[in-house]
Amino acid sequence: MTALRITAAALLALSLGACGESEPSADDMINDASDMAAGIDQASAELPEELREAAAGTGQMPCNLPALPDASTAQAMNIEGKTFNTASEPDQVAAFYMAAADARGGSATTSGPPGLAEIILTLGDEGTCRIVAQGMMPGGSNVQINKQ
Amino acid sequence: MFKTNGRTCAKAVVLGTALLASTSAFAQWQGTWGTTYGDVKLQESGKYVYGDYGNWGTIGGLKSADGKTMRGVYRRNDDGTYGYFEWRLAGGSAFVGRWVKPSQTLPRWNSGGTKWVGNRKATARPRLSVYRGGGNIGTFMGAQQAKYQRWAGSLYASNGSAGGSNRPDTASLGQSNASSILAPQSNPLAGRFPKLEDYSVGFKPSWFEVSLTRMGPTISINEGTSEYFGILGIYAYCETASGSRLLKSFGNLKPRVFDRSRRNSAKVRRASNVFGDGGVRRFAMDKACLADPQARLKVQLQTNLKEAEPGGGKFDEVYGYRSLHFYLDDLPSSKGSSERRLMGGADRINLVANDGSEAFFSAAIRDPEGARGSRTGILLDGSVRFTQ
Repeated sequence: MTALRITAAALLALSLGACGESEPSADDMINDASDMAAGIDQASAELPEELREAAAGTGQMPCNLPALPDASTAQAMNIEGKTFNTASEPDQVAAFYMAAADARGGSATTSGPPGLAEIILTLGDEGTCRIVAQGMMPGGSNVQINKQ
Repeated sequence: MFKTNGRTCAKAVVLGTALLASTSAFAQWQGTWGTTYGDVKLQESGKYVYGDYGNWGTIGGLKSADGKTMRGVYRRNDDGTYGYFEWRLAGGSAFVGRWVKPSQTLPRWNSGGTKWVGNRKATARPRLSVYRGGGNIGTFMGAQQAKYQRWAGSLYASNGSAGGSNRPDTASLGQSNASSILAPQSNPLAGRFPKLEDYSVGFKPSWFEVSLTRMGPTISINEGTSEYFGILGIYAYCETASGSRLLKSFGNLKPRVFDRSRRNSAKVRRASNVFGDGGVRRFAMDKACLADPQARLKVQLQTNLKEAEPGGGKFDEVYGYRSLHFYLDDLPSSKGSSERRLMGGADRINLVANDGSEAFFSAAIRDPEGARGSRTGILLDGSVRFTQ
């Protein structure tokens, strides 16, 4: 059966290609969202002062981090960390927690494809926390924070 | 090796499609996908694809006849925001698509809206944790805007490729079995009118027929005879964004199917046929109306009925003017939900599916004052069916 499926798929792909039908290509798989690293740099530069102050404060998240001021509750992805939703985009969330790291004398590294920011905060006595901000439709992010 | 003239291409496409379809009882979309907007977990039930959108919402949609394209709705559970998307499989392990907000122009997988792509992480049937829905297509479709119903329905009638159908021209095939290979698996209008799923493939409705079959007390008990008089009419409209247009019935018959004075009242002990053969009105599936994807065909019952006081008393129960309506696209199919209840003030109208060609409706007109105690209103039963 598997061989038959492969044969059928190959025949279909070959015929569609030969006939010029429009099908998804590798180029279609590339996301056209803005580059995350550039987005974080810009978001950091534009981070409002009140958010910078909020980031410096302590909160109920792991590593005593604060949530973003507009955080709304969201179902936790796992029992270890904490989760919330925010209207901020992933690069803005990353900028917020980079500011939190700065305020604590810690360090932050960011990575992730467009639409998804992963931030590792190393905060000395507070430990290390991993923050994942996943972009949501139609806007905003789902943020998960886990202590490593 | 491979000739690219149209006829050969068409045959190859059909053969490939047919072979793939014959081996594609497997669920193409089922599994866990890592996407631009988080993990998506999907299950399939027939042409209905549904599941978790990340950890914060619900996905539901219809896949095309060839299963490669899906048009769906995402909805966040936290704030109820939603939107529409179209995905197209790229091989078996990835999809490409785009999403929009409800107010935006509906997207194609390769144009419009914002890109949403995914890669398959697992094919196993996932366990859903945040999905909110009935898990069946009837419940899902019934909860969606007409805009989506028509959009998804039109996909099911085609194969969903960009620029229209990717089926080859039947006439170019020259094969006796071409029609069976190419035949849609459902009525082309079934996406717009779910009840048509109960009709044979290829059925093209030209008319819809509304029949009133019974009138009587909503609660039938041995309390003597009920006497009804007044007027009752069946109307049909094409309802668009700019207004409603009354549709003439076949033979230009007047809408009234019941018109009686007190002296000639209908006397029933329970819900009975007081209409004889006259309780039927037939209307055309108005082409101009169907051409407008936003338009809806509406059936309306207008009543101005009275009920004589039992025992020859002089105090009639005056129900007054009432209007109850439903849309043809409200009629449920037996393959979806079995019943749909529409409320209109104190009155109600239930739509009930069966696996035959008819859908049944049952309207209840509430007693204006409830003064009669056990008799809470007038029941009107009827049916709707499509004809060619």
